Amino acid sequence: MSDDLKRFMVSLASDVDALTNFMRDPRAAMDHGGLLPEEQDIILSGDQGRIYATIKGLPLPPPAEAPAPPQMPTVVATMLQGQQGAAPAPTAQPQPAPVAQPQPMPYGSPAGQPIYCYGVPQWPPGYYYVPTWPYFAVMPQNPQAGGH
Amino acid sequence: MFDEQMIVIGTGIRTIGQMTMESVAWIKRADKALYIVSDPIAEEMIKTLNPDGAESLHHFYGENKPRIQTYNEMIDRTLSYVREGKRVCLAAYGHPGVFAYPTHESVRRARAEGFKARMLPGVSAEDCMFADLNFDPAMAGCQSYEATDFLINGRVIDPSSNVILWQIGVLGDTTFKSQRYDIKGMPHLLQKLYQHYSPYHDVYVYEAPIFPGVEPVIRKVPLYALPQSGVSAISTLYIPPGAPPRPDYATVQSLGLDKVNGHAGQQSG
Repeated sequence: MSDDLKRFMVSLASDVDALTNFMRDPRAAMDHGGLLPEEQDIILSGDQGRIYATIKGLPLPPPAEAPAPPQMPTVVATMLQGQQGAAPAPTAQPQPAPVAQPQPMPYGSPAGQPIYCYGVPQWPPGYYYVPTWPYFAVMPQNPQAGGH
Repeated sequence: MFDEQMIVIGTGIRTIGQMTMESVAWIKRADKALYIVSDPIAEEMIKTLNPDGAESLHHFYGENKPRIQTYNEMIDRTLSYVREGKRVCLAAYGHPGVFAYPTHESVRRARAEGFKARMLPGVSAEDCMFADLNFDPAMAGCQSYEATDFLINGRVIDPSSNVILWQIGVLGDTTFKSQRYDIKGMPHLLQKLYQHYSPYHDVYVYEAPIFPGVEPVIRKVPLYALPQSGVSAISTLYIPPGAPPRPDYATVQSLGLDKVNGHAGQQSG
């Protein structure tokens, strides 16, 4: 790791102003920190393996494949469907079964194997208690007035 | 106040942004800043903040060496500095009290010997998971087990709740491996989970990112495909509920929850 990169990364972890500047304009912050353009490209690549290698001063691995799209579980949202105040559940709509295609795991099923579209809308409605929030007690406006 | 002889801190999973100011201050203040971290930024940060006192404990790990032996050596090294009268800050990645035997044990032993010791909370992989997978452990409940413990100790799960299984990538292996672990317990794990879930139940392999700007690994796979899902030593398994809850309607009515605004008051069929 170059000294400039080392200093820059440490400053992001320990100096809130440095982190704020990086979040606002990463390129400008890295220019200011003296990072080389190739270091900047790797830091901004989102490729954890290459970032790690750069920081550790190791040979760069080949670029990683583009990350899979977010695969968010929406089961809880679906469970709350129909309850007052609950957001509409994104998986409430019937989903067509994806066509099984040969592709590397783990982003798909083995070739020829169907993917079962698991869903909870068929569940009978039940009680999903939304917990009280916030948990902390409300402080009295005037401490002298007494509280509990 | 702030006169601890030993303080245990966490660097978070992603040091940039998840390390607390208090932890930074303790690293600076300590005579010895011992650390067990996987994030190279955390290591550089500790060495920069405390150049004279920083010391890695990573060298205690050894290929195929039992992890418990490594942990005991880490504890002995930590306590040796405390006994010398040095103020020790022990930094571990993530939350120092979550899946971290040496940190808990160091605090216990230090206190048993009469030293003032404290652990500060940090951001764990589970905390990152709640945020990245967008689920609340309070909704439907949440059971959390270390995967090998879950397998060998007859743990019972409720398939209507969220389930988290930690360290599925080191299942059944009590030694340290610098590369890939042999997940020999995976067939046993699947066999046990099939008692509660369909083989087609979707599960999520999760890995929190350690650098800013990097997306988390979130792989949705049907349960039967878990062995081929590319789990690593840092993978955590999230299993969404596979069955509806079983409400106790007598209690629901006696608490008046069937009339509470915001709850549908619906009954299962």
